[in-house]
Parts: sequence; C-alpha cells; structure tokens
Amino acid sequence: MWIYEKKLIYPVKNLRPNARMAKLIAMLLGGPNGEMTASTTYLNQRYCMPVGCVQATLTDIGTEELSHVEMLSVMLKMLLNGCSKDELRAAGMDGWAAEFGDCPFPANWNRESWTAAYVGTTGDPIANIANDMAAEEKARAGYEGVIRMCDDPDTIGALQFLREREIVHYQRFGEALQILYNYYDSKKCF
Amino acid sequence: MMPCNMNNNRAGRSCSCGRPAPQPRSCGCSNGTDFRSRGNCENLRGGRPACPENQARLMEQIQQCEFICVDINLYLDTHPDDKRALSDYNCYAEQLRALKDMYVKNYGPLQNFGNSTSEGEWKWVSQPFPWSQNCGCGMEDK
Repeated sequence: MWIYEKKLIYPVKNLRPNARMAKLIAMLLGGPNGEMTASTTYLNQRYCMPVGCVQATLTDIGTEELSHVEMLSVMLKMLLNGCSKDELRAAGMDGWAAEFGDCPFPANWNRESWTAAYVGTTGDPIANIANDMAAEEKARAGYEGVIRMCDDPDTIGALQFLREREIVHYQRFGEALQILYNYYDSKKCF
Repeated sequence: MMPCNMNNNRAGRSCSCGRPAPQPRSCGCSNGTDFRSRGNCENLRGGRPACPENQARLMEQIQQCEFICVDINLYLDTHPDDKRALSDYNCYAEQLRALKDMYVKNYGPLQNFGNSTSEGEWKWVSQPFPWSQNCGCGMEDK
C-alpha cells in the first residue's frame, strides 16, 4: 500500500502566475514522456520482475515519480493561479482554464488527455527495463527543453531538480538491466 | 553536516554505523537540536539547525534529509551488498525519523492512516497541504 506524506519532495516556492510556463509544465506532467506515464509504467512493471533488486528499483522509482507528479501538479496550480484572462488567451490556455480552473489535469500542452497507451509495459522484463531507460532519457530531454524556455529562477530550480532525478533513474535502470542479464545467465533448470 | 547518532532525541536508540555519538548542541531555541555538529554521514551542505520554533525551516531540513535517504535507497536497490551505503542509509533514516518526530509533535501529523499521531485535535485537516494558500509556498502573496 501507499502512505501519503504531507510534504513535497522538493520545496516549490514563489512561482508567479505564468500561463505560458503552465502550458509547458502540463506536458511534463501528462504528456507521453511525463511523470504520469513514468509512475504508472514502473509500478505496473513490478509484477513481472523475477528478482528482488529489480522489483525494489521499480517500486521505489515508481513511488518517487508519484512525488514528481505531485510536485508538477503544485507547480501547475501556482502558475495558473491568478493568471489574467488576456494572459490565458495569449498562451492558448483559456480553454484549459475554462474547464479545469487552476486545477492540474494530466493532459499534454495542447489539452490532449493522458492515455494508458503511453504506458510502456510488456510481459518481458528485459524489454521493460530497456523501455524505462529510454523513458528516463526522453524525460530528461523534455526537462531540458522546458528549462530553455524558462526565465524564472524558482521554476528553473525545481525543473533542474527533476531533470537530475531522471539521470539518476537512468543509471539505476542500467544497473537493473545488468542484474536481469546476470539472473538469466546464471539460471539453472534441473 | 549531520551526526550519525540520534540518541539525544530517542533515548536508548543509536544507529548501527558504530561512529561516535556527537553531543547535542542547542540552536538557541528552547528544545531544538543542531544536527550540523560533528557528523560523519555528512552530505547536508549549509544545513541549518533543526528547530521546532520554525516550521518551514524544520520542513526544509526534513526534505533535505529525506532526499539523501531516497537517493541512497535507490542505490542500495541495485547494490544491496554495499555495507558502507547501508550504514549511511541507516544513519540518515534515524535522523529523518527524529526530525519527523519533532515535526509531528510540534505541528501535527505528516502521514495518514495511523503513521502519525495528532495531539489534542485532528490537525490533519487544519495543518495546510502543500498546495494550500497558507502553506508558505508564496501563493498567499499574489
């Protein structure tokens, strides 16, 4: 089971209303390579893993990704909270604001809703972890793209934290893949 | 920098790393403890004293300490035989528990479902969630 803890994994503070940035943050939350996809994928894949090390890695990274979903949701709310009508229109976020207000919603920047089709789970452990390594790199690239579009130091700080986590996760998945290879190489059937 | 023995906060408890216990040092408030003094499991740069009189500062210290735990946890998942990392993990986990105990005692539950207590009243509903207007995140200034 999961226990909720009343805090963010990283202290997000003082984000000013910014409809254009909210649009980009929405992609990191609910886009194909966003945190929703990552957490759902990893937590799904746990059930077909043959070794404890990889089950633990997927459980823990999947759980950390849930905390990133929460962090981006809070950022989205802060960025939308207090935006003027004109700002929302100019950023193409007026439809979003009309439907969701300043509430986060898992959808891409063009309001394409998050879909389970993004989830990269198969029944094959090797294919799953290889998928996850690619997913982490795509997410890292996504953060770098948004950071390049960003001027606000507080927003950049939070995005840099998340980008760095993708790099650590990529490293851990690489090790998990090697653990799987070792497991299949050493498996003896009598 | 953080010490690796918390038995000043939790009588009789010590972490398993075998390093010497530091003496608790006051941070100037009535019952805070300075976790910077003489630690071996040091990673917290610029760490400020844990102090129950400043909720935001204590929360920040919890976030720092828990981040270390998250990162070592992931490392241990793929390096379960690394005894030094395990020792560090246990050390920071003890410190994290002490910081959270201090927070819960002074401000209210951090976790739901029986994992935190709430003294006097049900503070789970009155203490702000991280997206609340009064959570200190700056939204109230807009």
